[in-house]
Amino acid sequence: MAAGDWTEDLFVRHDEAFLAVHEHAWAAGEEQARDLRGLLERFGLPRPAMILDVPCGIGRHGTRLAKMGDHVVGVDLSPRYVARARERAAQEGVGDRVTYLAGDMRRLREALPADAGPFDAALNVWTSLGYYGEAVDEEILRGFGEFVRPGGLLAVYVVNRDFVVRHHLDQVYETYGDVVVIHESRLDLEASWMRNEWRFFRKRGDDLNHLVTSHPDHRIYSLHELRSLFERSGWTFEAAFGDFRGNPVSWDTPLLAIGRR
Amino acid sequence: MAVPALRPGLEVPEIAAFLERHGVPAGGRLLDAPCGIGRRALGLAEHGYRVTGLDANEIGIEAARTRVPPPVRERLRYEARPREAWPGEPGPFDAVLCLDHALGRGTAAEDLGLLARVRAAVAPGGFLAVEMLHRDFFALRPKPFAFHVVGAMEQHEFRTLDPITGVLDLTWKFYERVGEDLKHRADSAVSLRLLAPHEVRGLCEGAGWRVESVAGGWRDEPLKPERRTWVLSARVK
Repeated sequence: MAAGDWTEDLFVRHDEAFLAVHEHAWAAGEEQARDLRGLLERFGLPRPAMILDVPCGIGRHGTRLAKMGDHVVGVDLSPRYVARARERAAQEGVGDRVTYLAGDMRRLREALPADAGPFDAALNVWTSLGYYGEAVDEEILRGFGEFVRPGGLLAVYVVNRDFVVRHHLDQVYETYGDVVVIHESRLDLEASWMRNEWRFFRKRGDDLNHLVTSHPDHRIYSLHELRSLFERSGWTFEAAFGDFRGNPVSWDTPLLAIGRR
Repeated sequence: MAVPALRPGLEVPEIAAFLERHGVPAGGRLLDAPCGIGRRALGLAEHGYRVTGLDANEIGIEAARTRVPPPVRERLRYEARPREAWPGEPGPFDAVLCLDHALGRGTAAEDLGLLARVRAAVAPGGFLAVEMLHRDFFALRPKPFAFHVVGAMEQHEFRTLDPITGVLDLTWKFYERVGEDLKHRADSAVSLRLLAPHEVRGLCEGAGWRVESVAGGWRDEPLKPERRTWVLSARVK
C-alpha cells in the first residue's frame, strides 16, 4: 500500500466512522477559529479576508470564519464531509460566503475553479499534513502558494514530533457519541512516522460492532523540520505557536506554524 | 478431558535468584500470600522451595490444586482463606512473599495487621519480600486505557489515578472477538491504593520488620519511575 492510501478508505469509502469525530469536534471549532483569526491579524490578515481552508472537513473553522465576515473556500477529500459542511454553513446562515468543494489537496488546481483566489491566507489544520510523506507535503504547500497572494499567510497546525516522543500513548480509547475508536500506535523514530491502527466501532448495548479499521500512518515533524519544509515550498517562516491562542510553542505543545508568501 | 497442568510463572527464576541472594536458598519454607492462581508458587516449588500459597479466591485455589503436577505435590500446598485470616498457618516460614500489590487493598490498619501476623509466622531471621505497583510509574505517564488480546478474548482496561487519595481504579471489560465485532462477556474492577516506598517502609517497621532494601525489581535494580513495580525486602527485627 502506498503512503496515504488510507485517506481514501477512511474519509471516502467508510466516511461515516470519522464523520462522528468531525461532529464531536464541531463545537470547539468556534473558539479555535476566533483565536486563529486573532492570531493571523497580528500578521496582517485583513478583515474581511479571503481564506482557503484545506482540508476543510465539515467546515468547523471555515464556517466560523465566514460568520466573522470572511469569504471561505474549503476543499476536502470526502464528498460526504463537504456535503455536511454545506449543510452546516446554510444552518449557520453563511451559505453565501462559503464554497465547499470535494477534491484532493495534492491537486488543488483540479479541485478549485479556474478563477479561485487569490486568497489572503491558506489554512491546513488538525494534523492534515504528513499523510503522503514529506515530498508530497512539499508539493501540497507549494500548491497552496499558487492561490495565495504575495504577502499572504499560511497557517499549518500539526502534531509535534517532540510532543509525541514525550507523551506518546500506544493505546487510546475514545468515544464520539455512540462511536468508539480504539487506537494502537507505534512510533517509528528512525523514519519519523507514526504507525497507527484505528478500529472504529458502534456501541450496541455493551457490544462494540465493528465499522472500519484504518491504518492512518503519517509523518510527524519537529518544528525545525516544519520550518525547513515551509522554506523549501516557497514560504517564509514567520513564527510558531503552541496553540491557536498564540501561547508559546514548546516540546509539550502542538505546532502552529505561520508562513508568508 | 484432562485438565492441563498448571504452568509456572515466568518471573520465577528472577524471584528465586533474589531469594537466594537475600539468604533464602532453595529448600526453604515459603509463604506466598496472595498467590493468585498459584503459578508463581508452583514455579518456586519446582525450584526446590517448600511453598504454601494462600489466596482469598476459592475458585482459583481449587483450580490450582487440581492442576499441580505430581512431582512437586509434596512441596506445595494451596489454601483458600480470607485475607483477614492470613496466614492461619503454624509455620514457621523462612520467608514470606507478599507480592502482586499485596498492600493498599484495604485500610492502613489492615495492612499493618497483615504484616504483623505474617511476622509472627516466620522463623528467627525470617525474610519478607513485598512487591507493589509503582505510584511514580502511573504518575509519570498517565495511560487511561490499555487493551490486551488473548486468543479470542479482548480485554479493555480503563485506569484512573486519583492524585489526592493515591487510589488507582482499574476497570476491565472482557469481550469475545466475533469477526471484527466485540461481544461483551464480563466486567471486573479493583481499587488499589498506590503506596510510596516510604509508606510501605513505615508499615513494615511498624509491624516489627527491619527493612533491608528497596529496589526497582527482582534484580535489585535501582528504584526508577519507569518501572511498573518495585520490591521491598525486610527481615524480622
